[in-house]
Amino acid sequence: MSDITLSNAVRGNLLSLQNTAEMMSRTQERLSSGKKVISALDNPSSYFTAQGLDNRASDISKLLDSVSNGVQVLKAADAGIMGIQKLVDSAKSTARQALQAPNAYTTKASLTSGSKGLSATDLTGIIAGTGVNASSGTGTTAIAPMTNVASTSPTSGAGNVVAIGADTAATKLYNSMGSTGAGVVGATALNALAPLGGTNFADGDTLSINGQTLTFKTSGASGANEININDTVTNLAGKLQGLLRDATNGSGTTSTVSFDDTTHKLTVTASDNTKDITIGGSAVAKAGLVAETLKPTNTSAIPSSGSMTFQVGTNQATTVYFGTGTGQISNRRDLLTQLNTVSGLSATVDPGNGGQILLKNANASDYKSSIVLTASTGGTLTGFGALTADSGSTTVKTYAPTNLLSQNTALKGQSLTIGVGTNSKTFTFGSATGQISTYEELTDAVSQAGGILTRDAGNKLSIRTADANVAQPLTISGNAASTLGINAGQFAGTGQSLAGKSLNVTIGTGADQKVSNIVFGTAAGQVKTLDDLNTKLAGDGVGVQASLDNDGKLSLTASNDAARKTFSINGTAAVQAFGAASAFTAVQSSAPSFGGAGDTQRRNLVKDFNDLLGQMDKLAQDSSYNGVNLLNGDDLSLVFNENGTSKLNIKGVSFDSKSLGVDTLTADGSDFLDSGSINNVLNKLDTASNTLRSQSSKFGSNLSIVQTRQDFSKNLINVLQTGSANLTLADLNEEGANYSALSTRSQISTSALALSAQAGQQVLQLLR
Amino acid sequence: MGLVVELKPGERIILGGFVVTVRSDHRAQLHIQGDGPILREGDVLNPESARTPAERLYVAAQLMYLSGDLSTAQGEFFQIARDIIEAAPSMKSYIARAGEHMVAGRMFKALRELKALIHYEDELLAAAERNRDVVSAAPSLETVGGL
Repeated sequence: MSDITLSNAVRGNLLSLQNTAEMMSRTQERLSSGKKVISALDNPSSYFTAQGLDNRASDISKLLDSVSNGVQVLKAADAGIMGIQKLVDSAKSTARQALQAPNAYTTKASLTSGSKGLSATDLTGIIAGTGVNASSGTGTTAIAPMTNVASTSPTSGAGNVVAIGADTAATKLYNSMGSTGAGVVGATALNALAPLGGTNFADGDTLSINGQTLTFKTSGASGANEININDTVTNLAGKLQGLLRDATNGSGTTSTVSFDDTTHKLTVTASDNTKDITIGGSAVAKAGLVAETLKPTNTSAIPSSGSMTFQVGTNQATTVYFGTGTGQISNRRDLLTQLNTVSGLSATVDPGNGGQILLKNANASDYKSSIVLTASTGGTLTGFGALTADSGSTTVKTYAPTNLLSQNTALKGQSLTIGVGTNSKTFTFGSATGQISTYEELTDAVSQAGGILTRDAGNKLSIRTADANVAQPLTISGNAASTLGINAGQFAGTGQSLAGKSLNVTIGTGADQKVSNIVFGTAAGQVKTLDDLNTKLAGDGVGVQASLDNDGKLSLTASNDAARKTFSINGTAAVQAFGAASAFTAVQSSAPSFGGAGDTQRRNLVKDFNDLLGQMDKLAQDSSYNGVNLLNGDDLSLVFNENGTSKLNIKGVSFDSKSLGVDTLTADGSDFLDSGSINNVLNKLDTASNTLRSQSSKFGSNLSIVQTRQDFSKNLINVLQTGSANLTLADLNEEGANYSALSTRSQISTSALALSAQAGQQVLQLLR
Repeated sequence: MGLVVELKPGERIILGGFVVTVRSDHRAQLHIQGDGPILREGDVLNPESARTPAERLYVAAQLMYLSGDLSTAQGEFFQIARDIIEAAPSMKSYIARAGEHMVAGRMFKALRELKALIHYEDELLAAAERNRDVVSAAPSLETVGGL
């Protein structure tokens, strides 16, 4: 007993808790010697209390089993998450490979405007081809009708018309064959003509007619091109006629070569008045022929000598010579041909009306150029002489200019100012040099100012801007305006432009769809230049790029990032420039096309990607323990006490790929065709990673709570079980003594509690 | 639901991470709802003034309560509990009940139990004092309070 009571020596020795145990075992030894035993009979309440504690320990033990089970479920889920995370990383890497693969597209979606003439620095300017010129509108006063005499219809006997009857077919009665032709008849042999001073036809002589050659032979002549020299004159004529009629030389099938017995002469006649006949050959004289070209003739109208000069306006003048010599004119046919070579002149013949020739300016809208005819002495053409001449002039003018001054004497001294845009010109009317007196001069003046002068069917004048200045305003002023009946004032064109119009560009579908609403103009937020347009499209995240071609047409093309997409446009600008039926009708872009090595590579990567998703799904499904899978929607409920009032509920999740927000990629591979789409996929994978990470963190903290309770419960069971045997053995006095010793010792020993920085200490500080 | 406490003027109470003092000169009635440690001033044991094993056990449990984490001072708790039970097995039932409350998350009741243990401990130590003064070694069974 004295060992058990406290003593100074004991107190001094006891610095560690191991000493307590030593004391304990000593005490127990003494107790087991049988000195103090408490049995169920001696102290039933103590006994059953001990039993109660055992029961409690086993109840808590049962709870511990299910808690341990729960821990395993959590651990399985966490391992599953880590595995899925690795697969997500692999999927990211697959998608990144697709980003670096060669392009898969061969053409991208595009749309081009029908309108042309847009400028990169100003898309709001007048669109080419749509401008309506500024105009002063139809005038009020009619001017005299235009009198370009040269262009009016021909009438018989009118001053500009020359009546030249039809040509006569070329024909000639040639010279006698033989010395005087006497005795030469059709039957005479060719080698018996007895020509005066000449020789008879001999072998090798030739005669040619329109390029066909007839050769004389002593004998054995054959074919159309040979004749025997002992053949008759009649046959000579026949052969020559045959050659003349030959279709290959185009002389006409009714042309004739005939011999007259009475005159002893050959007559050669063309089949009509359009044909020439050229005669030649070594023996022309023997046949009484002459080497020459016979042409159609027109002796009644065309002089046999002399010349006339024709000039149109300031063009090159041409002189026509009359006669039968080379290059001279002897018939209407040749006259017409030569007149049509005169620069600026048009000559036609009206076969009716006695074959009248009409002279006109070849340029039908040239109201200024006169046709001037100058006749040389002795060379007047009948009919040309009747053309009207200006008084005091030796030239013959066919054209009478429209004299404005004579129409309205008030014009003299008045002026007209024409302004186109910022340019302005003023003209004065009068007859002095530099002043305007005729309609033609006024036309020129308006043109110099950048406008165009026109007259309507009633000969009323109006001025509009020239097409080069279609967008410019027009200003007309001056006292001559009202005299001429031209409306004065300021006039604007109605050219069309994109200013104020809207263009809505939509690309992609569903959640991916992006829209850019563009308004053309110069106000804030509006688009004026091509750069502005591209900046706006990019800023709105619309993968479409704008460009202009050489004709100023606006092209919209999908960007490389959006290569797999199509887009559409609508709006008033779509109506204006892209042919949309209405502002609400969408115009669709062309579709892109894909192919090549890049396409194949990307489609393979899509397959790899989908395989990884399949693995993720399987892993999520397999992350169960004892049938509970927190990654497949199962919940876990852990109970920490016997009556279930303290528990922890852990909510399960669905971590298959679809629930993580990563859809299977479509089999056509379109998700990997452009970088925009691939980046979408990568974003979804990032989101999935974040979801996995945050859930892993939640499960982690749940696990930590559960493990703490698990540890506590284990420790408690342990403590209760080691102590239970003792309760049936000890008595309270011994307890008191032991306890007292323990208490004293624990006062001396270092308290871990006070030293360690324990959680929960901060608030205790506040109480001090 | 919740807890209703009545505090005297000048009394303090721990509510979660806060110390709330009644400044008025009349009593204050508080209705407290929600989750978190609630400890009246009178129920707080200053760690530095904990001398005996049961007091130290109470301090360990108090730390667990105030930190909201059973792993706080868990090692110390069970070491002290083991020492206590081995020295005085009659204390085991207090510890069993307190431990049960703690597993079940009823920290407030656990502290109550541990406070009762401190009282029991006082009596046991007082009895031991008295025994030492007695020259005779005859054992006596003294009931020292409820088991």
